[in-house]
Amino acid sequence: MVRNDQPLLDVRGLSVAFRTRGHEQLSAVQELSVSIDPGGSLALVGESGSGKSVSMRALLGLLPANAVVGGSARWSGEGDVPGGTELIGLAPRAFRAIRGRQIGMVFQNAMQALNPTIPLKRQLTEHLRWHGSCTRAEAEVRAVRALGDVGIPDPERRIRMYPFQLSGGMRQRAMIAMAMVADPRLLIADEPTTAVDVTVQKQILDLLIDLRDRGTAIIMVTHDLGVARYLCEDVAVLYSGQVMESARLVDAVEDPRHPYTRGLIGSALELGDDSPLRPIGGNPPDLADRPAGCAFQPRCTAADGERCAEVQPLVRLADAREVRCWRSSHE
Amino acid sequence: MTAQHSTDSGAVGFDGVSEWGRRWRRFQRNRLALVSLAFIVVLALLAVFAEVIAPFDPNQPDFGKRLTGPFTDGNLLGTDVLGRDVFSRLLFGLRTALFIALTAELLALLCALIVGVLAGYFGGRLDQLLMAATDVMYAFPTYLFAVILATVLGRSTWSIILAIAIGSWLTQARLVRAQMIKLKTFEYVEAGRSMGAGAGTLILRYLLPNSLGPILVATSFGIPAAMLAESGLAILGLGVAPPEASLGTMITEGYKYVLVQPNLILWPFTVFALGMLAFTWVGDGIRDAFDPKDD
Repeated sequence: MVRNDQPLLDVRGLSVAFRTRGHEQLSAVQELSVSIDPGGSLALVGESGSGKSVSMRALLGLLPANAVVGGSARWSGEGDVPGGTELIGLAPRAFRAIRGRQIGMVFQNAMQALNPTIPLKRQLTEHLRWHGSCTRAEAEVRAVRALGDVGIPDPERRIRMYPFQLSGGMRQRAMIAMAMVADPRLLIADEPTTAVDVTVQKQILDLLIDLRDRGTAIIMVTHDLGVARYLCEDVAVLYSGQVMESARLVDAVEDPRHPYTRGLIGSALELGDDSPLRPIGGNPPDLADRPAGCAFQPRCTAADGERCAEVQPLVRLADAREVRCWRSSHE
Repeated sequence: MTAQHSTDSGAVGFDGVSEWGRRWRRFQRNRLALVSLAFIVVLALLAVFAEVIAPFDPNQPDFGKRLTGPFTDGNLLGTDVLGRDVFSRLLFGLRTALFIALTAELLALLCALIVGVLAGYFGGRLDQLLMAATDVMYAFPTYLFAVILATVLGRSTWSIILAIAIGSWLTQARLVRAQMIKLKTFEYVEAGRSMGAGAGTLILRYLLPNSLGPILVATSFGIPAAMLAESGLAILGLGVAPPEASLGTMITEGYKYVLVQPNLILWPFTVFALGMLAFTWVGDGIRDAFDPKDD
């Protein structure tokens, strides 16, 4: 992949906090900076509650009204806007033109992410029509093609079906087709393989790889590094709303620099590897009560009282990696 | 499931039958509901074609034959105290009762949808304001409110409809609001939004169709309640103005002569009771129809 100087989506210092009763504000994402090039692929990896999904929803303006979003996210997928469009704080009307048409999103739970009361046809064509880009007949042709592209057999017949008439795997594919039918430049997949069984998981991953190879940039949100490895070039490991390590995915897996990344790899199951699993002890911190200094410190096997009690900056290492641990630059 | 479908692992082979077809099938499985629906259709036809069917003018007194029993002198169900044909009055009374009940319920539903959608979908201050208003209305005894309204506005059909509707939209508005709040968090609604759907599309295409079941059930239970409210007002002397007939006013009049001519109360009461039961059972059937767990 040729790296040009303008990334497709450049997220700088994204922060998300929720206004709640009782607490002043719960900070869910802090200073998140990631970027993805046209045709690139990025994995956002982390445990539940690490802020992966929240940050992606923030990019699309899908968070509830009590969310306070800060920072910047420049979207350059429109082509003719110099410097890109700032997504954070974008007016709802302008946002609707970007959602669906330029950035597609695939949700985790295919069982619940399709509107049960309308057949696939309307579900797949309606947003093409909202965006006003084509006629009903064209939209239908595109929808049938999109269903065929995601490997649904007999798409002409299936397109008249309701979601409940499809199996889980098919629904997940139909959802990807729905996100892809408008040819977005970027696809955000939020745990697309979590709710489906392993064989379907493989098919969905192959499908995403296929899309990536055809030039769609993909951000995949997952808690499974193994799954991310199939698909993504780059990875950002999130913990408690902060990037702990961002690197090329191969590098992160072969040579993890952050103890948390190591922990994630150690706790993942791998076929043919008989070494015992080493789960990460403890639980992620309460967002209202983060430990001072390094957020991961209470669970870290390599923690060292004094240095870890300081706030850890994200340190850029020589090979374009960024790690939020003082040890990484001392090793 | 046909052979064609079993070859591919994916779809459950229901196609050819739309969701409405499947609902109708589930509805039919409830025999009582089906019979009730047929009964309601008969009642509705009788009411609509009252002019054609009625052998006499319902409001034309004939003092020569007062309080006669059934099957006398061509009066199928006898005559009332003014010598008016009970059968004819029953048809027109049915028409009035059904018209009032259906219209009041529709009006209440419309009001409930507007308030419920605004409060549930948009939330925040608007929600607080609308729900506070609803709660204040709730604090009123609705029946008393209807009595006051019918007294103030007079005994016309429309004032009775208004009086009944105002008392019955509250619960339905809360139901609609609850449905909006529940569905709004569903992933498919978020998916719709992620594809660029605006508020109007989300409400009309995603939220309302998916809350149709509970809303229809509430509506079908609201109709007998409205019928009951109408006859209740009639018993208090606030029903439709004479000589107009409604089931409620007929029961009230018949009550006075129950020892002389029990027919006068028997027939309107039977139609009224069966009608109410039928609507309730149809509501039951609709509830079944929208419950896909039964398949």
